[in-house]
Amino acid sequence: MRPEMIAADKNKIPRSRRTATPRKWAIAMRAIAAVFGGYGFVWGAVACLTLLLIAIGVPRSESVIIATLLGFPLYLFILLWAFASRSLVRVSFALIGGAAGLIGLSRVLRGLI
Amino acid sequence: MFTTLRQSMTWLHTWSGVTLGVILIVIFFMGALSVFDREIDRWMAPTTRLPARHASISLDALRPRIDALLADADQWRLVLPDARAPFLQLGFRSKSGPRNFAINPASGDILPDSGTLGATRFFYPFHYTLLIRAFNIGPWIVGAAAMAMLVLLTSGVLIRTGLFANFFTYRPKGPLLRASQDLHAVMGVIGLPFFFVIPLSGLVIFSAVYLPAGIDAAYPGKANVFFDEAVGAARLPKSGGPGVIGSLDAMRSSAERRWGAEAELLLVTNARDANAVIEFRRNTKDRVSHDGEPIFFDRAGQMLGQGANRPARSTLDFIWGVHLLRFEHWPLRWLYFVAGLGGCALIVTGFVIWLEKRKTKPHPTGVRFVEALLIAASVGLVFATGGFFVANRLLPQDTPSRAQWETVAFFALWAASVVHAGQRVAAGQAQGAWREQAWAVCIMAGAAPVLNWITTGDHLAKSLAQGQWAVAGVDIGLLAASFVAAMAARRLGRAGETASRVEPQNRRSAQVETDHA
Repeated sequence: MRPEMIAADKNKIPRSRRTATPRKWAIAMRAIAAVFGGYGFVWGAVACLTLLLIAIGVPRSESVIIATLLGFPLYLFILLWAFASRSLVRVSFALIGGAAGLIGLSRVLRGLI
Repeated sequence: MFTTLRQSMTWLHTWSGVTLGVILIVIFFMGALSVFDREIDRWMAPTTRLPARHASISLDALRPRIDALLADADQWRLVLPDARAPFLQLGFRSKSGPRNFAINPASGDILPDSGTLGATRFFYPFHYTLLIRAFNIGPWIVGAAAMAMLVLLTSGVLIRTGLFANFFTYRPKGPLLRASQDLHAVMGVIGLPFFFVIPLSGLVIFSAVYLPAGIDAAYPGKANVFFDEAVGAARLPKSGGPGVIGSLDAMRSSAERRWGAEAELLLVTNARDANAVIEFRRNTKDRVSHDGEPIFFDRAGQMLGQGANRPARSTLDFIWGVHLLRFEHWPLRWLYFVAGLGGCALIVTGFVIWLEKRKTKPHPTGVRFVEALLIAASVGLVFATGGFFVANRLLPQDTPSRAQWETVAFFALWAASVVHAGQRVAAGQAQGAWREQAWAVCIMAGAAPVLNWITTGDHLAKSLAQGQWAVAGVDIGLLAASFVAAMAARRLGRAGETASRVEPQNRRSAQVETDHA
């Protein structure tokens, strides 16, 4: 968190620069991208990490456990980031696109191992 | 989403709290009760109030009885007695569904059906399934709430950069809003490690449900292979030929020598086959880790293998152990209980802050709805739980489907609390709803120990004198709840007389305020 963000209180920002409460559809879109897109992203990331760990010689069951344990903090970070980020477009693309990309990659990796 | 991180986090904190907070209260409360699940079981099932036995009992001597019960079951499990549950628990799946029997270790007799779900089969599954088992809907809601709890904590810390300074400010005599804000901050800071670790470990325990991505990637379509490999389980294929299992006592003592600890659980697969596998797990009373270090035998008592203890798996067992609290440490057990109730207090104060900030304006319908829900989910939940204890003592022992009637009593009382809270809040008398339900808790929780005395003869002085700590502890807990409820109700009554509250005259359904001061 940058210091200027900490200092920036609602009342200290000129009214013109304050964002109004986002529209309902924008909030709904963001929530959907965060919860479902984020979940897909985590799913893909855990699957890829599991397969990469197996590829470097970690026992199969251990790879699953390590990747899964990391999945929950990753999801927490994604949820927070999705609501903190200013650009809804960036959030949607990164999460939904990232989810599709990672899940696709995990399918390819599974074929290789 | 907003100009500053702090604004975004405030919005996220507010709305994830308002939407999933009610469920979190229920989960925290049921979890806190589950900390003392075995003790509550003793209270609710008087036939199991047996003296704790430390002498090892012979499994082979019990075999004829067990075999008679099993009939043709292919798999069975036996939980050995310990100080908290001083009897054997036999479980297996028969053609008519899962069956459970409690066996008196002294006589080998089957204990009569207790006619109650108790804490281990009501409060405990409530904690992680909300008793909605169809399609795993309940566990998924609980998982979403656990994620929300992690989001709430992180966003809460990010919002309140002065949080750790506020920790030293507590003004309980101040106006409700300020007192709630102080208490919310104090609870949040003191309990932060607990409130973070508990939802996270809960998610990890259910990770095969919530996030089976890794299992799916590495073991496509073969999740059971993963579970066997992860613990290093030994399995034998069914041979088809009949077989008889040898001495269980010999296998147990062999396993116990290996561990240097006592066995806790016995699992038998392919029970009637020549390739039967007998698995023993040790008790984990002396450690946090939930690793039962399973040892596998064939039917002749030859060791087939011992569970693998790899680093990630050990980490996982530690995380499970932190949440499941199977270690024997009474001060820590009480701390878990208090911290669990603290979680409820944290969320309730969070709601009170949200509500108080909106009460200066005419009440929008949404705010009234949230307040009614909060009353039913907090004080109403305690009331229904008190009613569960009362119903347990009032229903005659020979009532058909007695355990179901207890459950019906719980949900009927909870529904009554919802209706009452809804009506009173709609009439603009929210404070009255809080006060009346607090009195209802006082009566229910106070009645339960008295009914325990009348129906079992175990009054507090007697159970204390006999060292029945479980029964005495539950009685004391109920009396304490009754006392606290009475204090709260009295204080709510006084505040109601003096406070100059702005009651809504304007019923026009204003939009729910999305600004958050």
